[in-house]
Amino acid sequence: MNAIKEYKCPCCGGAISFDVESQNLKCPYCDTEFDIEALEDYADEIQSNESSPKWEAEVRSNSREDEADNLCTYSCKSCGGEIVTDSTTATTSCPFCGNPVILTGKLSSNLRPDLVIPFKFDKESAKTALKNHFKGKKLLPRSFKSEARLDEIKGVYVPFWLFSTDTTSKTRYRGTRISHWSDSEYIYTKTSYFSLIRGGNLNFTHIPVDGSKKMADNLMESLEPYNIDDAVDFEAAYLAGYFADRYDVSSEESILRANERIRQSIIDEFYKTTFGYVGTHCTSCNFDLLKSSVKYALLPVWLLTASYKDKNYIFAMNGQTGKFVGDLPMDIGALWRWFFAVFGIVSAIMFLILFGANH
Amino acid sequence: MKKLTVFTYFFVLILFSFSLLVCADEGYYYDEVGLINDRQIIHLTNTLRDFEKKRDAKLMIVVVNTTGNKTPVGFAFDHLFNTVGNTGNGIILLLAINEGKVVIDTRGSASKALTDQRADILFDLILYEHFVSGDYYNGFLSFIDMCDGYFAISHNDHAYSSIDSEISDTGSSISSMDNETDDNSFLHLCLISLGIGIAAAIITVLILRGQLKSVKKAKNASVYVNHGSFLLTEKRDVFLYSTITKIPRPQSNSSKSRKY
Repeated sequence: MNAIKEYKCPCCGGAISFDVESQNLKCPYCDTEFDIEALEDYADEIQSNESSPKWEAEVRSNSREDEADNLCTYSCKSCGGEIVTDSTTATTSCPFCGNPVILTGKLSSNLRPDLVIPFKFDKESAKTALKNHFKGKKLLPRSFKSEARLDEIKGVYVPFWLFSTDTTSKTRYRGTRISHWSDSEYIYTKTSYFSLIRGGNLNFTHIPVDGSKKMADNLMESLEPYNIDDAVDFEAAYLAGYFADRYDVSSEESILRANERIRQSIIDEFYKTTFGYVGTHCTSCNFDLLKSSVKYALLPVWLLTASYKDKNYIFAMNGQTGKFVGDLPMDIGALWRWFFAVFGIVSAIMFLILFGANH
Repeated sequence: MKKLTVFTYFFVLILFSFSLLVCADEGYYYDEVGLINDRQIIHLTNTLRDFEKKRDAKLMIVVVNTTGNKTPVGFAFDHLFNTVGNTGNGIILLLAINEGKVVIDTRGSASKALTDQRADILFDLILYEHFVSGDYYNGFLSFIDMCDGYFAISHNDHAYSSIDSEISDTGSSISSMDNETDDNSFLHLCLISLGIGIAAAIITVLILRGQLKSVKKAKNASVYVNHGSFLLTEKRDVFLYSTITKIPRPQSNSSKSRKY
């Protein structure tokens, strides 16, 4: 099976990419829309009809892996240009002709994703969201909006592991009850300590854990939640026009993070049953997993990088829900101005109120 | 002539006694024990009456052998309440001889003039300077003078009467103590206002700074919990142990009492 797959328009031969609005494959040149399954069959047929005559002499294959550098090299089918990617890249675009390219070898057999959530927001939406992200931030440097340069904006399908499981757990909390009484001489305080034992079941579906080392985990978790009900069975055609990586963090490695989040959820849910106590905190939590399953999915993310005063800022938008995140720089001068302004005004008002009340 | 003289003498005596009765009935000075003589009683009563006219607050001095079933503080409170009522202004100085207690209680505007700190000063001056040595009469007069001075201070009255000269030494020390007290109150106001201002400023900048940070790790996976899957199968609250601590009760603020 060939490692590279390209989707060409049957009408005009242009490179086809996935269209967010119609949720289908669409040719940007002749505006013709195609059903994904139909185009998959067409593309497979084209590829299977391609002849690949064997030479007696040794030929260089389309792809080779340089294990020392962890790089892969491919030839673009449209222009013949050399495409160099790292070992995890699953889709890219030719740097010469811009043709979107899907490296199917990276998404086949045990590397084939189970699910994909198609993009629901396009590039323009991501740019608009970035501008809206700046609004209302009082401590953002004023020059950031004008001087910050948007270096790159790309739609990426990020590999995730989706963990589903039923849990049965036993959690212990320490709680206190306080009572007061007094006589003519003393005020008494009695503090009683209790061990609160809670057991039960709690089920989880599709907890996402980032499967790519390239993507910061806190950035990816900030984009949650994803609605996995909108996910569809994976077809390579959905990736056309976008970047994608295969996982390089295995599901075994991701289990730790999933367990961490499950544990905290169990503690939080059973804590709600410990009413009537003060200062309640968890002392132990043990849980078992039943009917657990893991799925490999590609979830849509718009990544934007901007530079400002020689520093790079990364922003991300959930390609399904439109949620936008990204840390912004702070104007120290503005911070102190706000501090002293609030301090002065509140102190003056409180002084006038207290002075009037006392006199 | 002799009869006229005798008649006049008895008439004056009756008038004098009547005036005593009137004074006693007016409730300014009541003495079961006989700490001062009659002449001192008259002078004291007149001074107390003048005080009431000037300060619109009744100043009473009550000396009893015992307060009976009531505590000295309760006795003073009830006596003052029964005399000036719920809305009146008054001060009572009670000496409970058998209990060995001196109580000062105030009502209405007198509470503002005779604060707890000032009452403490009064105790120190009249008790230790006069009562301990048995000089009750001068102790009572000093008490009246100082109450008048405190009323003047609280009303910002700069036109002091001749009483001021008698309290000039104590008055200046009182007013300087009061100035210190007022200075301390002003400092407290400033510190409280600055403290609240700093707290408000810190909270504000923390909120504004928080707006710039939107990247954070998820705390849990509660969003991915299946609805209706929560099932509590075990719930036990086990008592472990308890501790008991005690602190002394704070004193009441409205009345002040001292032993002497």
